[in-house]
Amino acid sequence: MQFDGDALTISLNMSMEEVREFEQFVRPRIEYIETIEVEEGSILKVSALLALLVSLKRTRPEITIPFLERGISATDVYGTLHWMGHD
Amino acid sequence: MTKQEQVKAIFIEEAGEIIEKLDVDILRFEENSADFALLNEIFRGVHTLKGNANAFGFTRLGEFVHHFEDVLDHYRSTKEEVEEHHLELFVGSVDVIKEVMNCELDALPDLPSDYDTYLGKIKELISSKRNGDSNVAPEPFTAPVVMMDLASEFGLSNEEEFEAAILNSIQLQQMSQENGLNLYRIDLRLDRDAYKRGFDHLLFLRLLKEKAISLESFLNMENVQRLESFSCDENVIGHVGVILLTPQNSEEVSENFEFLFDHEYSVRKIESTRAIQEAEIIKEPEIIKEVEKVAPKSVATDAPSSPTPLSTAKSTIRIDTFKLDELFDSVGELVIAQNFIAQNEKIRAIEDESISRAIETLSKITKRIQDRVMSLRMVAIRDTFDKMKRVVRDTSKKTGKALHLNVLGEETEIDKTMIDSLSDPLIHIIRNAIDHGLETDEVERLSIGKKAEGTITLRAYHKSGSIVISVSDDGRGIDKEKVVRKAIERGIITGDENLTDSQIFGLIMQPGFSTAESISDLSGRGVGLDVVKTSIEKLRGKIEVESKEGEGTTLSMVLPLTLAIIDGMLVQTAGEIYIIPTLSVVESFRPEREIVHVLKGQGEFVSMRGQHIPVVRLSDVFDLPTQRIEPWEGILVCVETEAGRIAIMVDELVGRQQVVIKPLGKSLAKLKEITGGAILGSGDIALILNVDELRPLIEVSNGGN
Repeated sequence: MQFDGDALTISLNMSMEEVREFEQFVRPRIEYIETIEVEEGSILKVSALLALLVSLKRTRPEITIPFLERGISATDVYGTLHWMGHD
Repeated sequence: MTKQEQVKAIFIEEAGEIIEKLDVDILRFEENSADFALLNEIFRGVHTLKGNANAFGFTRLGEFVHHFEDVLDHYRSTKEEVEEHHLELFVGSVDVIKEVMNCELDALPDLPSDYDTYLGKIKELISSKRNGDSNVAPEPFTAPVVMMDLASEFGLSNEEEFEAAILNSIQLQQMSQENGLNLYRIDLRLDRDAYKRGFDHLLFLRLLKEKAISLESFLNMENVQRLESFSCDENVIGHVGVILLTPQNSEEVSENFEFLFDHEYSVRKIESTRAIQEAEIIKEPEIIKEVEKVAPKSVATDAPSSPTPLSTAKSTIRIDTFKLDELFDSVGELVIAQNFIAQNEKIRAIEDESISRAIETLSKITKRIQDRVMSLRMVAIRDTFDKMKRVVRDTSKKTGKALHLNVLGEETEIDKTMIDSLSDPLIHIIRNAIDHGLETDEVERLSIGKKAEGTITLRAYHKSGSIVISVSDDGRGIDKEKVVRKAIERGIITGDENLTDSQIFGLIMQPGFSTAESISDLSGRGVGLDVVKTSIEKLRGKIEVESKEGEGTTLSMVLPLTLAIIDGMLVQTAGEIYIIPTLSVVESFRPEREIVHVLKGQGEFVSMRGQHIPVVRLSDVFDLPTQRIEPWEGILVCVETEAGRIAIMVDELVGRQQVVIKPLGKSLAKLKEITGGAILGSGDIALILNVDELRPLIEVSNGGN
């Protein structure tokens, strides 16, 4: 995870434990985050991370999360994933 | 073609249809921008296109339509009338969508030059609207209220929209499902403590993917709360729908979920479309019971035990035109076989009423099957005409000529294969009519007592077993003297010819001919109408031109009803049967001796209504051994050819018949005087003449004189 000014870059490969840590990290800082980018090539490991990103977006709609906004991810590991009702 | 490629091909076809419809609808909307029902229709098309584009990795297309959708959504949800200058943006955006789609299909790295410009304008527009309407930030995903409205506009709740997406995925998979593969719908509704129990949706998806040919999943995130009420330890993803295509059976698939509670998952096998159709045809209820099917309704259901078959919601199916062609060929064979039975001398000699009745019944049924199969290939020309409205609009704007478009006969049906080849010729003729046919401006029109607004009429109708598609303008009409002068200048004619009006008009379709004073990007390059003519002739059609100076011009494309069957006149010469396409036949007659002339070195002619028409002896063309007779002892069939009329001399007329065209073998295909062959009821083979290639053989036919 990298925090550069108001842009946060995360890896999607977080374990459940790492998602918990990320949640703890982001809660007090949500007002300062403008963008959450994901590391290229990283793949979701747990669905809780996706839920957390949706929750962040719901809490502060101004945050830009391009990965989330795409609404779709296609990988060899999971096939095609669509998430709906997140906006 | 792999499974993935098949699905992609279906997407491409559907996307093409959506874009074509957008092209038409956006123009209709431009005419009536208060039509919000139409705006909704456009929105739905763009929305579907966005989903499909993203699903297939066409991200550049997805990105553009995503923002365009936002703009459309703003107007349809606020019911705010679209400003005129923004209508132009809408129309241009559809153009960009068409171009981006082509870039995506050809995997071109570069985007259309207008892509960024239009995307910028769209973003600017939506941003200004949002800032102006409320102080909401311009990010597209910051307006959940608007997005909720999306669902309500469709009449769907979030869960219903979710269900509709799953059903759409099922339909796509069903259409290309191969034998040996099973399609399943799996619904995961994990309890809130699932993560604590060590389960995760993605864990199951990973397991399923290991044996899957295709796996598509939909996660419903509706229940995810704001941070204040959120804990990542609790599963708040209420529902995950999974569409799985795999060689595994139901038990093997279900084994993946054996540690879940029963209420947390369901696995349902879905039949292929073909299997459903077969089950319906043979009407065996037990087959329906064997396999659970998915309900087509978009309302989410927790009771999968009472589904409705998907097939009941479908009123149409897509069929590859190649398969239709094969079916048509087979029916052609059936017709030939039926004719063979009906005309067989030995069978006819049997004096048995029941046999005669059976043959008559067979004949009727065969004809009915032939007609019905024929009708499968026929589609209304409406869609093609709709596309032309855009051409008229754009050309009108480019030339600055105000005009009114009349469209008649949109329901006229035409062979699908032909429709695909008609667009380009039609576009060129329409552009030509506006650019050159209509007067330069309103001043010129008003000065000669015409309405300021020009009129272009697009019409389709049946005429003597052919389809006619005409484009008329009420402009200047063709200046015959100017045409002749230009044709002489360009060396197309010498000036010594005594040309009829129709031959003069025909000159405008000669290669390199153009009377345009200036070359525009619309027409006037002299490479247009001859290409149009060639295209129409490839469809076994012809172009007729009618024009009256000062009143206007009509270009008519006369086409056969279908490319697979030809209406032919059967003639006999030297014991052989030939077929002359009826479309080119003007008349047939036995000439009086007085009207037949022999001109030294030029061959035989027949005089008809002041015209000297060259006589072509068919027996000479094909070098058939025959006893030479005089023209007045035979029959002359007068036909219209590219180079004017000729009279084909034959021994006798056999009759008129619709025949199924059969391609010729390699050796006969080289004979330019023949376009194909046909099998007659007697089982004999007859050759179909290419009348345009008969004229140069006059010298050959004169050889015996």
